[in-house]
Amino acid sequence: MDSRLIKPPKAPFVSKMEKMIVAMAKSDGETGIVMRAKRNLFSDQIESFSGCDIVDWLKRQYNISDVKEACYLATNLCQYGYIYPIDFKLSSYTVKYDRSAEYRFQAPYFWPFRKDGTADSIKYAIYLQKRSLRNKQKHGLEPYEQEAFDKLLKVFADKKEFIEKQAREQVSEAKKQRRKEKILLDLQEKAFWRVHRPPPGCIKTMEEGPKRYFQPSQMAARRRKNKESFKAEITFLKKALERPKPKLSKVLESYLTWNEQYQEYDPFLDPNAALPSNPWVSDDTLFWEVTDTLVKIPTELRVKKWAISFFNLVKDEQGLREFEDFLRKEYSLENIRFWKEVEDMKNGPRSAIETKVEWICREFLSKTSPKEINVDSKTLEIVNKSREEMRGKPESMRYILDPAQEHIYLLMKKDSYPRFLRSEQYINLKEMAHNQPLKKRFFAFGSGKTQIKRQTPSPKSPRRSTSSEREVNSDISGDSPIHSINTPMHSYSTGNLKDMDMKQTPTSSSLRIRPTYTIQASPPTVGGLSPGQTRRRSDEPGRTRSMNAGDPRRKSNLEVPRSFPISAEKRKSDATLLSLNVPAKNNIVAPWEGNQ
Amino acid sequence: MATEALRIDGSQDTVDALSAEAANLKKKLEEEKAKLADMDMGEVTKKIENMTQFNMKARKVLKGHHGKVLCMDWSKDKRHIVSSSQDGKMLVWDAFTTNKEHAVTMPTTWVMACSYGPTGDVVACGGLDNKCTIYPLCMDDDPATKKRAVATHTSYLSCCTFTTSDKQILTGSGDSTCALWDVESGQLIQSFHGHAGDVMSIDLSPSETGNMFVSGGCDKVANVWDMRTGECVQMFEGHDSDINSVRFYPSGDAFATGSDDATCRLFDLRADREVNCYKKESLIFGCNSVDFSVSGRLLFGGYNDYTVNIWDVLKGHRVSILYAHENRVSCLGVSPDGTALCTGSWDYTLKIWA
Repeated sequence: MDSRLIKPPKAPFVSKMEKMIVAMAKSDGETGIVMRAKRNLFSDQIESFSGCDIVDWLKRQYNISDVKEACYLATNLCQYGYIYPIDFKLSSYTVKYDRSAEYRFQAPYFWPFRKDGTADSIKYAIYLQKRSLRNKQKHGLEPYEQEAFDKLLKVFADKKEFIEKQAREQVSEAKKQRRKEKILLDLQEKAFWRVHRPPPGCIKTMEEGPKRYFQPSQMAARRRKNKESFKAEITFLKKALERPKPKLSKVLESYLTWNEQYQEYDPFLDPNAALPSNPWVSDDTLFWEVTDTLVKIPTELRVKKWAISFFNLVKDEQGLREFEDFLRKEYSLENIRFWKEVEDMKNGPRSAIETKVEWICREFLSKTSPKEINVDSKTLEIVNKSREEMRGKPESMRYILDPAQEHIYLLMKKDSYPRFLRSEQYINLKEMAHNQPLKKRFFAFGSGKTQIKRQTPSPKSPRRSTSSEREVNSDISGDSPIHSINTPMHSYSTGNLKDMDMKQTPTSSSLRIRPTYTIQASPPTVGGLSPGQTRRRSDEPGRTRSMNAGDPRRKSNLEVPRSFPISAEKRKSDATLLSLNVPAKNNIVAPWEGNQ
Repeated sequence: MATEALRIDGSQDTVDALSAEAANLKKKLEEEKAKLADMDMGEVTKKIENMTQFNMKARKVLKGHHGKVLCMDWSKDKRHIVSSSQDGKMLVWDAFTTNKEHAVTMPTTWVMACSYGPTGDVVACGGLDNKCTIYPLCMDDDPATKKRAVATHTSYLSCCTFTTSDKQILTGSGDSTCALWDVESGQLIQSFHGHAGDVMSIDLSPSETGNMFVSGGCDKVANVWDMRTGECVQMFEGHDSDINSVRFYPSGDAFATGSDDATCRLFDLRADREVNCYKKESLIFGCNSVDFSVSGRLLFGGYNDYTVNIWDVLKGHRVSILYAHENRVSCLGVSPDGTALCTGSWDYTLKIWA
């Protein structure tokens, strides 16, 4: 059967719109919209309904509480041409809650998705011709219509006579009609073409995306089942039946658990998920700096996340490194190394597979290797067998180490991972993260990586309100004599940090000033402010942007770190003073003792 | 010889017998599932509080495309975006500064798919040219000079995504197949057949036991595939029309779909069924694109009525509407750290919401 002959079914939204319109247009006086005859720009009384009528009806019918939403829906119906404004100049295609705006229902003949060629170019040409034959004042063509008409006449040069003839016929037919009918038909036609040939600048609602490849009939044909497809289906169903199925309530409960665990990580739900602030809201990128791939001190939430699941730990580059360090101390580093190498191999290019597999086997699976991992003999047997079978077929080799990898993963998950969470290393990470007061921080703990990757931020970060352009001082150098108190070198995990690829010395990178503020290079006692004093932002030179009193950032920006450590208790109480807390275990180094 | 012929006739191998067996098994499966359905999502989520009204505002507007924006993808660095449009252009933006960092003109129009590589050094895109082309991003050269076609289908490319590395890319096409490609050699690693119609969207599983992805198509079905074997492991029906978008729930145990039937649905892999449906009687326009917030509590849907509807995934009701654009919302994506939502539209712009 020729698939072109079969009309594709109406798109769901079309049927739904039409259903809506039918319900609205019911003239039973009860369920539909009541049309009222009004004296309008036509001397005859044309029945219409107002913007309010349709919005109220929609609100009632669909339980819509927000007027805006109902207006929006009505606007869509209008844009598609199911309703139209009587006076195009007075009432707009954007339906408002307006008592004076008048609309009518479009005749079904002129509904937009009729696939009988009602909207083709010839018909449009005839329509335009018709109008130009009639009273210039009432029916004259708009400039865009005239342009279109001229173009069409050129395209259909051979059909010019036909067009004219059709147009004249339609005009003489119309003369026979009653005045009111004529007016209505004119309105309907106008509305119809407004949808199919919109004026410039208006949305082309009838625009479609690219056509799909398989037509519905073709899809049906492909679905037609034969022996092979039934056999496949049976295998599929058998597997599905074998699969263990949990109770639905248990499955649904797991959503609650997940939500409970991860809600605090979601910036849309919890403002503390993106401390000190969401960069998109505040234009301050500090959050990204502290949550970069590799940082000196991972944030509290991040460290907490590693405790939720082993997977969270290993898929975070920083977590992975911490875990590696832990395993190194336990002399089981090769486990995680093996896992990582297999992952790299699986995700890597085909050309590297064979060599890599061989290398991994030599390095981790051979009895003679010092890095031999603890895999049971059965698994080893499977792996070796596969190696033999797949030799020369790199693509097939990609997954042969999976049994061993899964075994090791489980081993780490059940054994090393819980120990890691109880370890001093992890506890210390938590503590360090906790003592890093992001909320009230002033200086960025930059990481080397961030500095290299991100070029100096572009001088013009456009603000939402374009009135004042913020001036970013791009001449702020990375270093300032102001040192942070939490110099990482004095933390417990120093050894680990040195292993990380920090391109800059710890102290200098932790001194990066956020580029949004001008900070005077000042002596180590931080701008000469005594505790309790706060620097006024308007005092700082170079600041052209004034900050509103209500600006949430203001408080935190005004705070200035003290040059001496403050006890933990104070941290919570005094909101206006910044306190940088030093973990009790760390050595306290005065800022001016500087780089070592 | 005669006896053999008889044997064949009497075997279980006839189409009718097979059809009956399949129908039987299907019935059994449905019965099993029904027995296990001791609660529905509404009941279970009664305990949790309703969400407080939250407001999102447009924080950035990315202007620069001269055609309908069809697809976008975030970079792992949380601020760069690649977007592609109907006029054949692919743009790489620093969304934070709204600067355009790279511009590539494709030799084809309707570039419906684009993806940012995990390292941030490559982007891939494709469309009516039936191909997926990789463009390395370097500061100096024009990316187009070093481009490479990696995937070829027999019909348009509807979606593409890099896997966990820049070295493999997964594609979905109008020719109803999905395929996994080795980027370096451009060779096919695995192909996935099973859809009866155009594949519109794919998404990789974020779960621990990865190696799976889901695809949604014009045949109204969403399939879950094993990347290693090419096998379809689960099938989900339920939509009344084309599925335009699929996205995994952050746990990897479920995925959401957006469809032309104006609904979004949540399908759970463990329960092997639909567990929630996000719809409203007044919402009649198709949903083109869906994405979850990082915790999975919110589902964002971009619709053909130019709005974005935000759903409470657990409770099932709508939390908010964004009157986002002046034409269809064709694509959207939540940034990797969940701080922003990017929407792309037929009105030629992209907007960042937070």
